[in-house]
Amino acid sequence: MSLSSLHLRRLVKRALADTAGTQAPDPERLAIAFNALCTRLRHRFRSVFGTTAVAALFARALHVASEDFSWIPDVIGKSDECSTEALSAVRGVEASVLEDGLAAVLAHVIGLLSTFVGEDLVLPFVQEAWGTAMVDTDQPGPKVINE
Amino acid sequence: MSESRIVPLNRLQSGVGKLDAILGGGFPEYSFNLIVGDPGSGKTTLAHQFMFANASPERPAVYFTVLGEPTIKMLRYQQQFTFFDMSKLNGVIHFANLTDEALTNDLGKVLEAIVRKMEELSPRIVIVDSFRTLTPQAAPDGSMSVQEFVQRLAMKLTTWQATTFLLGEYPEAQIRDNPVFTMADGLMLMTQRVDRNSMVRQVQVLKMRGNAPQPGLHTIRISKDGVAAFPRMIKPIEEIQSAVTREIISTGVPGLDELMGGGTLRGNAILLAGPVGSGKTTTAVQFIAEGVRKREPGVVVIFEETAPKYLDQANSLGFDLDAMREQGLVEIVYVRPLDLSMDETLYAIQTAIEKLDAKRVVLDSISGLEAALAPVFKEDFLESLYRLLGALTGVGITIMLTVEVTEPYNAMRFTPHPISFLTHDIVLQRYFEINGELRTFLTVIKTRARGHSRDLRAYDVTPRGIVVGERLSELTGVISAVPRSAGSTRKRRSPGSPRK
Repeated sequence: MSLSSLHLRRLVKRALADTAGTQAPDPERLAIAFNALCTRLRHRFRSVFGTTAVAALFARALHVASEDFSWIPDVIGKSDECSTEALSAVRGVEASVLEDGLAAVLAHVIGLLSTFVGEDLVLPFVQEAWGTAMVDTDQPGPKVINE
Repeated sequence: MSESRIVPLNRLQSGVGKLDAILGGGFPEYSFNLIVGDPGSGKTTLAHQFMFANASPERPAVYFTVLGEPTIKMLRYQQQFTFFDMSKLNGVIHFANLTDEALTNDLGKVLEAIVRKMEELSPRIVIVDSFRTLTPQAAPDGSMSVQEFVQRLAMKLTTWQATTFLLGEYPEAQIRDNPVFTMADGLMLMTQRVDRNSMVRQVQVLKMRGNAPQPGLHTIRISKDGVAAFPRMIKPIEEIQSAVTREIISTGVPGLDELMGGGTLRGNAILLAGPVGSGKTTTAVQFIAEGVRKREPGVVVIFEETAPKYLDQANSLGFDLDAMREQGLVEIVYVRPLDLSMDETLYAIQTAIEKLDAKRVVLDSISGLEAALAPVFKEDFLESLYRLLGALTGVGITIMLTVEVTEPYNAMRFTPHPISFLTHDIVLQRYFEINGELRTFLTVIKTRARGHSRDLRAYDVTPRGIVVGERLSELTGVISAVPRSAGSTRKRRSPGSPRK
């Protein structure tokens, strides 16, 4: 079971699209949506797990996502925010891949935390933070997060 | 004049097995409690257990974590316990992290954060884990001290009608003189210590305002179900009898009954002492089987052999204990761990007794029981055994205890333990040598409140159990194990009499 699975990434991508207000956001909208989701997620997680733990989770998620998307460290700086300019400046990468990379970061955050304390605990927090139902409507059954 | 009315004190069940008995009925609602003790003694688990047992939509709970065990780890491990109900995390139980506030070293900010959460969630249960990490006893800049923090927190949480627990790693020595502890309504100390290879955890209720807690140290054990407590002072299972009974019941060994004046009194403790292989277990099995024959269920507590082996042994003696067990008339309690307390053992026995409504109990053997106890409890073995026997015989249960005697045969001791005075009847089984053969005899040393024979009777362990023969009147010096003929020893051999 991989909690940062394709299903989870799909859910995160849907949240990104919802936040960006479009199914195919341009780099600028994508960065803004990503930063908004990060902020909300950090805030919700911090209240339960503390700042240090959440910072460590995000750092680890960035590291893991960078293995698949090498440009990620260039667009997400030390402030943990996605730079619109940097994202727009990524060359030779399709917009959909940019979206995949940012979705992977968030999916890894959620997946990592779920590995420790269980998705039954984590997903309600995510849903609360994002206002997005963490249900994969593309899949049969009420909740499909695990593969 | 109108009658004065006392404010009702509602008590919340702790959710911890038997802890309520120690607390004197549970935690008073709206009380402000401190749970302190060594790291790993079970404070966090106990607090979670209470929270999951009591939290509801009408009584929401908040668990504040402060610089102690990381919340991620805490939740990861706590959810392994069976009491952890994930469904309660959906709006009933909330977790809040105060690390950032605590790191400012400003307890005023910690207090503000707690109050904000209280206003947001209106919890009725509040846990702060751990307040020990709020270290500035008196901040140099004149900001709030821990004492002031606890005092203000206690006041605020009480007026919010919250039952509150502050957890902290305080060694016992620091509790006595710490003014923080005077503010609490309830103060529980949890300890753990390693003695040789055994781990012993204990709880002590130092105070519980509004309750009459049981004093002293009580054993606790942490399992997959969480913390379980074993109160040191136990109540009888059920008041079966209020007066001393004079009913004589059979031991199941006819010859032994004869020696004991017809049997033993119901509610007696019979000590059966003898060397290895002398038939103590056989006698004990007969005692239980006799009870079953009279529809008196029995519990056999064993420490040395596993239940299947014991049942097999009983079967080879002609007693199908397994069938009796299937009929619900016999229960085998196998107690093996080497870090037990006597109270845990007693509760295991009590549970079996209550299940069957048992009237007879066999402890086979005292030596095994002592071996199963943690070293620290062996110091109190005699006192513990006294409590165990008192608790069982006090409700009319007849107990047979076996004990192995290991001293040379020419000395006459009943047991390596000075426990003879705890028992009502003592039966001694011994070996002696005659005509190049090792033989056995038994005698009754003591019976309570009635006469008994002082005969030395030979006996055999047969496929039908113990068969007691005639008095060894033809021999003298049997006690020395090497008897001499007291006259003619040439008589027809009856069961139990010396072979030629």
